[in-house]
Amino acid sequence: MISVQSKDFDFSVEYQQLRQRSLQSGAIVMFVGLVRDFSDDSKVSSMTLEHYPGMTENVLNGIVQQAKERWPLDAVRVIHRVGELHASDQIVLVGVSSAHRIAAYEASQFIMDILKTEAPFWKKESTENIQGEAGERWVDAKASDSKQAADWQ
Amino acid sequence: MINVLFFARLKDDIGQAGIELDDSYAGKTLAQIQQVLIEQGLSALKDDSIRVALNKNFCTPELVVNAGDEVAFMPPVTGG
Repeated sequence: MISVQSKDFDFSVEYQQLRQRSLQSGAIVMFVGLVRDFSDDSKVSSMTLEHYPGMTENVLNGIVQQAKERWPLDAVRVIHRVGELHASDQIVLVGVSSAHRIAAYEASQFIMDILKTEAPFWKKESTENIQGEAGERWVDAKASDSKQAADWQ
Repeated sequence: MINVLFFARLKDDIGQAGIELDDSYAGKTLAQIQQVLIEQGLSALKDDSIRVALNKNFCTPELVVNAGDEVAFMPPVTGG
């Protein structure tokens, strides 16, 4: 199950719901990504996440499907937030259940690694430099993220 | 009509979220449409890192566009 939403999510509620969908499982791995407040040399006061409605959901469902083909998973939950977010806000959740921990660990990492290079989200940071001047900039994609995703090929 | 969308940095650089092309563009490839738009002054599309989608699926620039299709030009993604 995937969700793209502006509202925050409750980790414990998501965990309990995933657990209810995973009564035969022996392992649940939950990953949460948070907004960091520093990038390069300036302080990030907030960020705005843009996405491509419709395509985002297609891509996320496709990634979950690929994960289910590679590992014996019982249930998968993906939430990605869009809109304005602030430092330390929750931005993404991936939850995976399986009979054994290795599949759950690996599948959750796979989903995040592919999401970062394939799901059509873009971050725009609102920054403040040491002189206190405000600015905006689109975040550049990282080569390290592409390498991380390519390692699953 | 062919609906063409721009996202993120491209949307800001071009100054609009999208344009509509008439059906005379049907039959061209995505790469040809990109080239035509560059020649019409959308220089932000002259960028090798741009990814294209046809009807909400990433695809190669050799695919042919038909009337009614939705084309999207996107910078590399930065979610997660």
